[in-house]
Amino acid sequence: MRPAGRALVRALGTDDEQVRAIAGMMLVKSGGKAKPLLQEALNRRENVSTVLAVLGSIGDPSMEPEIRRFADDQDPQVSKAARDALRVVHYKT
Amino acid sequence: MAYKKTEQPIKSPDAFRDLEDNHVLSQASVLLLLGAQMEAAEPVSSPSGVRSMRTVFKKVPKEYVTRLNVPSLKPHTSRRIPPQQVRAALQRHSALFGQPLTETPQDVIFGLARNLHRRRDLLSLSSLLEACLTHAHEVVRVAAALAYFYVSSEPARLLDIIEKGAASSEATVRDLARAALLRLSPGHPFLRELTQSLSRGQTGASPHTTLLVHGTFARNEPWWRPGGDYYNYLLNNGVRPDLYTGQDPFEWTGGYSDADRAMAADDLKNWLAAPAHNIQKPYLITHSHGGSVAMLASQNGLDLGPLVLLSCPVHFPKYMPDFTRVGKIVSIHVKFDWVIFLDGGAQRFNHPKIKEIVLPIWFDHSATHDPGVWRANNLPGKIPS
Repeated sequence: MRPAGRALVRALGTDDEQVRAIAGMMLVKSGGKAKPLLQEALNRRENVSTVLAVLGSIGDPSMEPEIRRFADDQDPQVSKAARDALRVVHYKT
Repeated sequence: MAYKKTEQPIKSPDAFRDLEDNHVLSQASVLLLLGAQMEAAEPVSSPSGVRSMRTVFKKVPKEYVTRLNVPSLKPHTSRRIPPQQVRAALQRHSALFGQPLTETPQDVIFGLARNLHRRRDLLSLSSLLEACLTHAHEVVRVAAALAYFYVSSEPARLLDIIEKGAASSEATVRDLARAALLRLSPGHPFLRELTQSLSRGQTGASPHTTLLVHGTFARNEPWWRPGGDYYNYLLNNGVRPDLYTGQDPFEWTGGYSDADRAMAADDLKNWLAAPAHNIQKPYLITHSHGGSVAMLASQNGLDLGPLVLLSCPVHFPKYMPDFTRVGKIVSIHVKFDWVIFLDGGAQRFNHPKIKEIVLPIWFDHSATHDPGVWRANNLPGKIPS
Protein backbone atom coordinates (compact mmCIF):
# COMPACT_ATOMS: atom_id res chain seq x y z
CA MET A 1 0.00 0.00 0.00
CA ARG A 2 2.99 2.35 0.45
CA PRO A 3 3.32 3.28 -3.26
CA ALA A 4 -0.43 3.84 -3.42
CA GLY A 5 -0.20 5.92 -0.25
CA ARG A 6 2.54 8.07 -1.76
CA ALA A 7 0.40 8.51 -4.87
CA LEU A 8 -2.39 9.76 -2.62
CA VAL A 9 -0.12 12.27 -0.89
CA ARG A 10 1.03 13.50 -4.31
CA ALA A 11 -2.61 13.74 -5.38
CA LEU A 12 -3.22 16.27 -2.59
CA GLY A 13 -1.46 18.75 -4.87
CA THR A 14 -3.40 18.05 -8.03
CA ASP A 15 -5.50 20.72 -9.74
CA ASP A 16 -8.40 18.28 -9.97
CA GLU A 17 -10.75 19.08 -7.10
CA GLN A 18 -12.44 15.68 -7.04
CA VAL A 19 -9.19 13.78 -7.08
CA ARG A 20 -7.73 15.92 -4.30
CA ALA A 21 -10.87 15.53 -2.18
CA ILE A 22 -10.94 11.78 -2.57
CA ALA A 23 -7.22 11.42 -1.89
CA GLY A 24 -7.57 13.46 1.30
CA MET A 25 -10.65 11.50 2.37
CA MET A 26 -8.78 8.25 1.89
CA LEU A 27 -5.78 9.39 3.87
CA VAL A 28 -8.03 10.51 6.73
CA LYS A 29 -9.84 7.20 6.67
CA SER A 30 -6.51 5.39 6.80
CA GLY A 31 -5.93 7.11 10.13
CA GLY A 32 -2.71 6.16 11.90
CA LYS A 33 -1.46 4.10 8.97
CA ALA A 34 -1.07 7.26 6.90
CA LYS A 35 0.96 9.14 9.51
CA PRO A 36 4.46 8.09 8.35
CA LEU A 37 3.62 9.09 4.77
CA LEU A 38 2.21 12.42 5.90
CA GLN A 39 5.25 13.04 8.07
CA GLU A 40 7.51 12.34 5.08
CA ALA A 41 5.49 14.81 3.02
CA LEU A 42 5.87 17.50 5.68
CA ASN A 43 9.63 16.91 5.80
CA ARG A 44 9.76 17.40 2.03
CA ARG A 45 7.32 20.34 2.23
CA GLU A 46 5.08 18.53 -0.23
CA ASN A 47 1.50 19.90 -0.34
CA VAL A 48 2.05 21.15 3.19
CA SER A 49 -1.20 23.01 3.84
CA THR A 50 -3.39 20.13 2.65
CA VAL A 51 -1.28 17.55 4.48
CA LEU A 52 -1.78 19.59 7.66
CA ALA A 53 -5.56 19.59 7.09
CA VAL A 54 -5.45 15.80 6.71
CA LEU A 55 -3.49 15.47 9.96
CA GLY A 56 -6.01 17.69 11.72
CA SER A 57 -8.88 15.51 10.51
CA ILE A 58 -7.11 12.34 11.68
CA GLY A 59 -7.00 14.07 15.03
CA ASP A 60 -4.17 12.15 16.65
CA PRO A 61 -2.72 14.24 19.51
CA SER A 62 0.68 12.54 19.06
CA MET A 63 1.05 14.49 15.79
CA GLU A 64 0.57 17.81 17.51
CA PRO A 65 4.31 18.68 17.79
CA GLU A 66 4.71 17.89 14.09
CA ILE A 67 1.85 20.20 13.19
CA ARG A 68 2.94 22.89 15.65
CA ARG A 69 6.29 23.43 13.96
CA PHE A 70 4.41 24.92 10.98
CA ALA A 71 2.23 27.26 13.06
CA ASP A 72 4.60 30.19 12.49
CA ASP A 73 5.61 29.25 8.96
CA GLN A 74 6.58 32.08 6.64
CA ASP A 75 3.92 30.99 4.16
CA PRO A 76 0.64 32.39 5.58
CA GLN A 77 -1.38 29.61 3.92
CA VAL A 78 0.74 27.02 5.70
CA SER A 79 0.71 28.74 9.10
CA LYS A 80 -3.07 29.16 8.92
CA ALA A 81 -3.52 25.50 7.97
CA ALA A 82 -1.30 24.45 10.88
CA ARG A 83 -3.16 26.57 13.43
CA ASP A 84 -6.51 25.29 12.16
CA ALA A 85 -5.26 21.69 12.28
CA LEU A 86 -4.24 22.20 15.90
CA ARG A 87 -7.70 23.52 16.68
CA VAL A 88 -9.29 20.45 15.10
CA VAL A 89 -7.00 18.13 17.06
CA HIS A 90 -7.90 19.91 20.30
CA TYR A 91 -11.54 19.85 19.35
CA LYS A 92 -11.45 16.09 18.98
CA THR A 93 -9.65 15.37 22.25
CA MET B 1 -8.68 10.89 -22.72
CA ALA B 2 -11.47 12.34 -20.57
CA TYR B 3 -14.93 10.81 -20.76
CA LYS B 4 -17.72 13.01 -22.09
CA LYS B 5 -20.38 14.19 -19.60
CA THR B 6 -23.08 11.54 -19.62
CA GLU B 7 -26.63 12.70 -20.28
CA GLN B 8 -28.11 9.42 -21.41
CA PRO B 9 -26.89 6.39 -19.48
CA ILE B 10 -27.49 3.03 -21.08
CA LYS B 11 -29.56 0.33 -19.42
CA SER B 12 -28.08 -3.00 -18.49
CA PRO B 13 -27.46 -5.38 -20.18
CA ASP B 14 -27.29 -3.21 -23.34
CA ALA B 15 -24.70 -1.01 -21.62
CA PHE B 16 -22.28 -3.93 -21.96
CA ARG B 17 -22.80 -4.16 -25.71
CA ASP B 18 -20.50 -1.28 -26.72
CA LEU B 19 -17.44 0.78 -25.75
CA GLU B 20 -18.77 4.31 -26.36
CA ASP B 21 -18.24 6.66 -23.36
CA ASN B 22 -21.92 6.44 -22.27
CA HIS B 23 -21.76 2.67 -22.42
CA VAL B 24 -18.49 2.40 -20.52
CA LEU B 25 -19.56 4.72 -17.68
CA SER B 26 -22.92 2.97 -17.49
CA GLN B 27 -21.19 -0.40 -17.24
CA ALA B 28 -19.08 0.87 -14.34
CA SER B 29 -22.20 2.23 -12.62
CA VAL B 30 -24.12 -1.01 -13.00
CA LEU B 31 -21.20 -2.93 -11.47
CA LEU B 32 -21.01 -0.45 -8.57
CA LEU B 33 -24.70 -0.94 -7.85
CA LEU B 34 -24.35 -4.71 -8.03
CA GLY B 35 -21.46 -4.44 -5.57
CA ALA B 36 -23.62 -2.34 -3.26
CA GLN B 37 -26.19 -5.14 -3.20
CA MET B 38 -23.50 -7.61 -2.17
CA GLU B 39 -22.00 -5.26 0.41
CA ALA B 40 -25.32 -4.81 2.16
CA ALA B 41 -26.51 -8.38 1.89
CA GLU B 42 -25.92 -11.15 4.40
CA PRO B 43 -26.31 -14.79 3.34
CA VAL B 44 -29.91 -15.93 3.73
CA SER B 45 -28.88 -18.18 6.60
CA SER B 46 -29.03 -14.91 8.52
CA PRO B 47 -32.61 -13.88 9.33
CA SER B 48 -31.82 -10.35 8.22
CA GLY B 49 -30.40 -11.51 4.91
CA VAL B 50 -33.44 -11.34 2.68
CA ARG B 51 -34.53 -8.11 4.28
CA SER B 52 -31.15 -6.46 3.69
CA MET B 53 -31.16 -7.57 0.05
CA ARG B 54 -34.46 -5.76 -0.33
CA THR B 55 -33.42 -2.62 1.49
CA VAL B 56 -30.06 -2.03 -0.15
CA PHE B 57 -31.63 0.11 -2.83
CA LYS B 58 -32.63 2.67 -0.21
CA LYS B 59 -29.00 3.85 -0.36
CA VAL B 60 -29.39 4.78 -4.00
CA PRO B 61 -32.64 6.27 -5.28
CA LYS B 62 -34.63 3.56 -6.98
CA GLU B 63 -35.02 5.62 -10.13
CA TYR B 64 -31.27 5.31 -10.81
CA VAL B 65 -31.35 1.58 -10.24
CA THR B 66 -34.38 1.38 -12.51
CA ARG B 67 -32.89 3.74 -15.09
CA LEU B 68 -29.81 1.56 -15.35
CA ASN B 69 -31.93 -1.59 -15.12
CA VAL B 70 -29.65 -3.12 -12.51
CA PRO B 71 -30.72 -6.74 -11.94
CA SER B 72 -31.92 -7.55 -8.45
CA LEU B 73 -29.91 -10.51 -7.21
CA LYS B 74 -31.59 -13.56 -5.74
CA PRO B 75 -30.98 -14.23 -2.04
CA HIS B 76 -27.99 -16.57 -1.75
CA THR B 77 -26.59 -19.06 0.71
CA SER B 78 -22.89 -18.26 0.46
CA ARG B 79 -21.12 -14.96 0.45
CA ARG B 80 -17.76 -15.58 -1.17
CA ILE B 81 -16.94 -17.68 -4.22
CA PRO B 82 -13.49 -19.15 -4.98
CA PRO B 83 -12.01 -17.85 -8.26
CA GLN B 84 -11.46 -21.47 -9.44
CA GLN B 85 -15.21 -22.06 -9.40
CA VAL B 86 -15.76 -18.85 -11.35
CA ARG B 87 -13.07 -19.69 -13.91
CA ALA B 88 -14.63 -23.12 -14.45
CA ALA B 89 -17.98 -21.46 -15.12
CA LEU B 90 -16.33 -19.01 -17.51
CA GLN B 91 -14.67 -21.84 -19.43
CA ARG B 92 -18.07 -23.46 -19.85
CA HIS B 93 -19.32 -20.13 -21.18
CA SER B 94 -16.46 -19.56 -23.66
CA ALA B 95 -13.36 -21.48 -24.70
CA LEU B 96 -11.50 -18.16 -24.61
CA PHE B 97 -11.22 -18.48 -20.85
CA GLY B 98 -9.20 -21.70 -21.18
CA GLN B 99 -6.07 -19.60 -21.62
CA PRO B 100 -4.72 -16.47 -19.94
CA LEU B 101 -6.65 -13.46 -21.23
CA THR B 102 -5.19 -9.95 -21.33
CA GLU B 103 -8.44 -8.32 -22.48
CA THR B 104 -11.90 -9.83 -22.45
CA PRO B 105 -13.73 -9.22 -25.76
CA GLN B 106 -16.76 -7.00 -25.25
CA ASP B 107 -19.17 -9.43 -26.94
CA VAL B 108 -18.20 -12.04 -24.34
CA ILE B 109 -18.82 -9.56 -21.52
CA PHE B 110 -22.18 -8.67 -23.07
CA GLY B 111 -23.11 -12.37 -23.09
CA LEU B 112 -22.20 -12.68 -19.43
CA ALA B 113 -24.26 -9.61 -18.58
CA ARG B 114 -27.29 -11.08 -20.34
CA ASN B 115 -26.70 -14.33 -18.48
CA LEU B 116 -26.70 -12.42 -15.17
CA HIS B 117 -30.04 -10.83 -16.04
CA ARG B 118 -31.48 -14.29 -16.73
CA ARG B 119 -30.10 -16.09 -13.67
CA ARG B 120 -29.52 -13.29 -11.11
CA ASP B 121 -27.39 -15.62 -8.99
CA LEU B 122 -24.02 -15.27 -7.33
CA LEU B 123 -22.10 -17.39 -9.85
CA SER B 124 -23.40 -15.38 -12.81
CA LEU B 125 -22.49 -12.17 -11.04
CA SER B 126 -19.03 -13.48 -10.19
CA SER B 127 -18.48 -14.57 -13.80
CA LEU B 128 -19.34 -11.09 -15.10
CA LEU B 129 -17.12 -9.42 -12.51
CA GLU B 130 -14.21 -11.79 -13.14
CA ALA B 131 -14.43 -11.14 -16.89
CA CYS B 132 -14.59 -7.39 -16.30
CA LEU B 133 -11.31 -7.48 -14.39
CA THR B 134 -9.72 -7.64 -17.85
CA HIS B 135 -12.11 -5.17 -19.46
CA ALA B 136 -10.71 -2.85 -22.15
CA HIS B 137 -11.43 0.21 -19.96
CA GLU B 138 -9.76 0.68 -16.60
CA VAL B 139 -12.77 2.48 -15.10
CA VAL B 140 -14.80 -0.72 -15.58
CA ARG B 141 -11.95 -2.87 -14.23
CA VAL B 142 -11.87 -0.75 -11.07
CA ALA B 143 -15.66 -0.85 -10.64
CA ALA B 144 -15.61 -4.63 -11.13
CA ALA B 145 -12.82 -5.02 -8.57
CA LEU B 146 -14.75 -2.99 -5.99
CA ALA B 147 -17.97 -4.93 -6.57
CA TYR B 148 -16.10 -8.25 -6.60
CA PHE B 149 -14.46 -7.38 -3.29
CA TYR B 150 -17.71 -8.34 -1.55
CA VAL B 151 -18.04 -11.62 -3.44
CA SER B 152 -14.65 -13.17 -4.17
CA SER B 153 -12.77 -15.34 -1.71
CA GLU B 154 -9.51 -13.77 -2.93
CA PRO B 155 -9.97 -10.04 -2.48
CA ALA B 156 -6.24 -9.17 -2.31
CA ARG B 157 -5.73 -9.28 -6.10
CA LEU B 158 -8.69 -6.91 -6.46
CA LEU B 159 -6.99 -4.33 -4.30
CA ASP B 160 -4.05 -4.41 -6.72
CA ILE B 161 -6.38 -3.38 -9.54
CA ILE B 162 -7.91 -0.61 -7.46
CA GLU B 163 -4.51 0.65 -6.29
CA LYS B 164 -3.29 0.74 -9.87
CA GLY B 165 -6.39 2.72 -10.84
CA ALA B 166 -5.70 5.17 -8.03
CA ALA B 167 -2.53 6.22 -9.85
CA SER B 168 -4.19 6.40 -13.29
CA SER B 169 -3.65 9.44 -15.50
CA GLU B 170 -7.37 9.43 -16.35
CA ALA B 171 -9.31 11.52 -13.82
CA THR B 172 -12.49 9.43 -13.88
CA VAL B 173 -10.55 6.26 -13.18
CA ARG B 174 -8.54 7.93 -10.42
CA ASP B 175 -11.67 9.35 -8.78
CA LEU B 176 -13.39 6.02 -8.75
CA ALA B 177 -10.36 4.00 -7.65
CA ARG B 178 -9.47 6.36 -4.84
CA ALA B 179 -13.03 6.50 -3.64
CA ALA B 180 -13.13 2.71 -3.84
CA LEU B 181 -10.07 2.46 -1.61
CA LEU B 182 -11.71 4.90 0.75
CA ARG B 183 -14.76 2.69 0.88
CA LEU B 184 -12.72 -0.39 1.66
CA SER B 185 -10.74 1.30 4.44
CA PRO B 186 -11.85 1.15 8.04
CA GLY B 187 -14.00 3.93 9.37
CA HIS B 188 -12.74 6.62 11.64
CA PRO B 189 -14.50 7.71 14.88
CA PHE B 190 -15.25 11.41 15.10
CA LEU B 191 -17.35 14.07 16.75
CA ARG B 192 -16.69 15.57 20.16
CA GLU B 193 -18.20 18.46 22.02
CA LEU B 194 -17.10 21.85 20.87
CA THR B 195 -14.41 23.01 23.25
CA GLN B 196 -12.88 26.03 21.59
CA SER B 197 -14.19 29.10 19.92
CA LEU B 198 -12.63 30.96 17.05
CA SER B 199 -10.83 34.20 17.11
CA ARG B 200 -9.50 35.42 13.83
CA GLY B 201 -8.68 38.71 12.25
CA GLN B 202 -11.03 40.13 9.65
CA THR B 203 -10.78 42.94 7.18
CA GLY B 204 -13.04 44.68 4.76
CA ALA B 205 -16.63 45.24 5.88
CA SER B 206 -19.09 44.63 3.06
CA PRO B 207 -22.79 45.02 2.50
CA HIS B 208 -22.91 41.86 0.39
CA THR B 209 -24.82 38.94 1.75
CA THR B 210 -24.34 35.94 -0.54
CA LEU B 211 -21.51 33.66 0.52
CA LEU B 212 -19.91 30.65 -1.12
CA VAL B 213 -18.91 27.78 1.16
CA HIS B 214 -16.44 25.29 -0.28
CA GLY B 215 -16.36 21.55 0.35
CA THR B 216 -13.85 18.91 1.44
CA PHE B 217 -10.20 19.71 0.68
CA ALA B 218 -11.31 22.61 -1.54
CA ARG B 219 -9.99 25.39 0.68
CA ASN B 220 -7.31 26.30 -1.85
CA GLU B 221 -9.56 25.86 -4.88
CA PRO B 222 -9.85 28.99 -7.02
CA TRP B 223 -13.46 28.53 -8.19
CA TRP B 224 -15.13 29.84 -5.03
CA ARG B 225 -12.66 32.65 -4.27
CA PRO B 226 -12.71 36.23 -5.65
CA GLY B 227 -11.53 35.93 -9.24
CA GLY B 228 -12.50 32.27 -9.56
CA ASP B 229 -14.59 31.14 -12.54
CA TYR B 230 -17.74 30.26 -10.59
CA TYR B 231 -17.34 33.30 -8.31
CA ASN B 232 -17.04 35.62 -11.33
CA TYR B 233 -19.96 33.95 -13.02
CA LEU B 234 -22.27 34.54 -10.03
CA LEU B 235 -21.09 38.11 -9.47
CA ASN B 236 -20.81 39.43 -12.99
CA ASN B 237 -23.75 37.82 -14.75
CA GLY B 238 -26.54 39.08 -12.53
CA VAL B 239 -26.91 35.73 -10.75
CA ARG B 240 -25.87 36.96 -7.28
CA PRO B 241 -24.70 40.57 -7.56
CA ASP B 242 -24.81 40.68 -3.75
CA LEU B 243 -21.96 38.15 -3.51
CA TYR B 244 -19.51 39.00 -0.72
CA THR B 245 -16.55 40.75 -2.35
CA GLY B 246 -14.25 41.28 0.60
CA GLN B 247 -10.79 39.80 0.34
CA ASP B 248 -11.37 37.69 3.47
CA PRO B 249 -14.08 35.27 2.31
CA PHE B 250 -15.29 32.69 4.80
CA GLU B 251 -13.24 29.53 4.59
CA TRP B 252 -12.85 26.46 6.74
CA THR B 253 -10.27 23.72 7.08
CA GLY B 254 -11.95 21.58 4.42
CA GLY B 255 -10.97 18.56 6.49
CA TYR B 256 -12.80 15.27 6.26
CA SER B 257 -14.22 14.74 9.70
CA ASP B 258 -17.31 15.59 11.67
CA ALA B 259 -15.08 17.65 13.96
CA ASP B 260 -13.84 19.80 11.05
CA ARG B 261 -17.42 20.45 9.97
CA ALA B 262 -18.69 21.18 13.47
CA MET B 263 -15.86 23.61 14.07
CA ALA B 264 -16.52 25.23 10.69
CA ALA B 265 -20.20 25.70 11.59
CA ASP B 266 -19.18 27.59 14.70
CA ASP B 267 -16.58 29.57 12.75
CA LEU B 268 -19.21 30.57 10.20
CA LYS B 269 -21.45 31.91 12.94
CA ASN B 270 -18.58 33.92 14.43
CA TRP B 271 -17.40 35.17 11.03
CA LEU B 272 -20.84 36.55 10.18
CA ALA B 273 -21.28 38.19 13.58
CA ALA B 274 -17.84 39.83 13.58
CA PRO B 275 -18.10 43.66 13.49
CA ALA B 276 -16.18 43.77 10.23
CA HIS B 277 -18.91 41.69 8.57
CA ASN B 278 -22.12 41.96 10.60
CA ILE B 279 -24.07 39.98 8.04
CA GLN B 280 -27.58 38.86 8.94
CA LYS B 281 -29.32 35.91 7.31
CA PRO B 282 -26.81 35.35 4.51
CA TYR B 283 -27.75 33.68 1.26
CA LEU B 284 -25.49 30.60 1.16
CA ILE B 285 -24.36 28.64 -1.87
CA THR B 286 -22.45 25.57 -0.71
CA HIS B 287 -20.68 22.70 -2.39
CA SER B 288 -20.44 19.11 -1.13
CA HIS B 289 -19.80 18.96 2.64
CA GLY B 290 -19.88 22.78 2.72
CA GLY B 291 -23.62 22.13 2.83
CA SER B 292 -23.16 20.02 5.95
CA VAL B 293 -21.36 22.98 7.55
CA ALA B 294 -24.26 25.31 6.72
CA MET B 295 -26.86 22.87 8.04
CA LEU B 296 -24.91 22.37 11.27
CA ALA B 297 -24.63 26.14 11.68
CA SER B 298 -28.42 26.44 11.52
CA GLN B 299 -28.68 23.73 14.15
CA ASN B 300 -26.28 25.80 16.27
CA GLY B 301 -28.66 28.76 16.16
CA LEU B 302 -27.55 30.63 13.03
CA ASP B 303 -30.37 32.21 11.04
CA LEU B 304 -29.86 31.83 7.29
CA GLY B 305 -31.53 33.19 4.20
CA PRO B 306 -31.93 30.88 1.21
CA LEU B 307 -29.63 27.87 1.08
CA VAL B 308 -28.44 26.37 -2.20
CA LEU B 309 -26.79 22.98 -1.74
CA LEU B 310 -24.61 21.82 -4.65
CA SER B 311 -23.73 18.12 -4.78
CA CYS B 312 -24.40 17.78 -1.06
CA PRO B 313 -24.04 14.27 0.37
CA VAL B 314 -27.10 13.50 2.48
CA HIS B 315 -26.28 12.10 5.91
CA PHE B 316 -29.60 11.99 7.71
CA PRO B 317 -30.09 12.74 10.57
CA LYS B 318 -26.53 13.89 11.29
CA TYR B 319 -26.65 16.79 8.85
CA MET B 320 -30.05 18.37 8.41
CA PRO B 321 -31.02 22.04 8.56
CA ASP B 322 -33.08 23.57 11.33
CA PHE B 323 -35.97 24.46 9.04
CA THR B 324 -37.17 27.18 11.44
CA ARG B 325 -33.91 29.07 10.88
CA VAL B 326 -33.40 28.66 7.12
CA GLY B 327 -35.12 30.24 4.13
CA LYS B 328 -35.91 28.34 0.96
CA ILE B 329 -33.63 25.37 0.39
CA VAL B 330 -32.67 24.00 -3.00
CA SER B 331 -30.48 20.94 -3.53
CA ILE B 332 -28.86 20.69 -6.95
CA HIS B 333 -27.13 17.50 -7.92
CA VAL B 334 -26.29 15.21 -10.78
CA LYS B 335 -27.67 11.72 -11.12
CA PHE B 336 -25.86 8.96 -9.28
CA ASP B 337 -22.92 11.09 -8.13
CA TRP B 338 -20.08 8.59 -7.69
CA VAL B 339 -18.25 10.63 -5.04
CA ILE B 340 -21.38 10.91 -2.87
CA PHE B 341 -22.11 7.23 -3.36
CA LEU B 342 -18.63 6.21 -2.27
CA ASP B 343 -18.61 8.73 0.59
CA GLY B 344 -21.61 6.79 1.89
CA GLY B 345 -24.10 9.65 1.67
CA ALA B 346 -27.51 9.44 0.09
CA GLN B 347 -28.04 11.25 -3.18
CA ARG B 348 -31.18 13.20 -2.32
CA PHE B 349 -33.00 14.53 0.73
CA ASN B 350 -36.55 13.45 -0.11
CA HIS B 351 -37.86 16.16 2.21
CA PRO B 352 -40.88 18.32 1.37
CA LYS B 353 -39.06 21.48 2.48
CA ILE B 354 -36.05 20.89 0.23
CA LYS B 355 -36.53 21.43 -3.51
CA GLU B 356 -34.47 18.97 -5.50
CA ILE B 357 -33.06 19.93 -8.89
CA VAL B 358 -31.58 16.94 -10.64
CA LEU B 359 -29.38 17.89 -13.57
CA PRO B 360 -29.46 15.84 -16.78
CA ILE B 361 -25.86 14.83 -16.09
CA TRP B 362 -24.64 11.64 -14.53
CA PHE B 363 -21.76 10.80 -12.17
CA ASP B 364 -19.77 14.15 -12.08
CA HIS B 365 -19.46 15.65 -8.55
CA SER B 366 -17.97 18.99 -9.67
CA ALA B 367 -20.44 19.71 -12.49
CA THR B 368 -22.70 21.68 -10.12
CA HIS B 369 -20.24 24.59 -9.82
CA ASP B 370 -19.42 24.68 -13.52
CA PRO B 371 -20.66 27.98 -15.05
CA GLY B 372 -21.32 26.18 -18.34
CA VAL B 373 -23.63 23.74 -16.58
CA TRP B 374 -25.42 26.65 -14.85
CA ARG B 375 -26.00 28.38 -18.18
CA ALA B 376 -27.07 25.26 -20.04
CA ASN B 377 -29.60 24.32 -17.37
CA ASN B 378 -30.89 27.83 -16.58
CA LEU B 379 -30.03 27.37 -12.92
CA PRO B 380 -30.07 31.13 -12.12
CA GLY B 381 -33.82 31.05 -12.80
CA LYS B 382 -34.33 28.03 -10.55
CA ILE B 383 -32.65 29.15 -7.32
CA PRO B 384 -34.40 31.43 -4.78
CA SER B 385 -34.19 35.15 -5.58
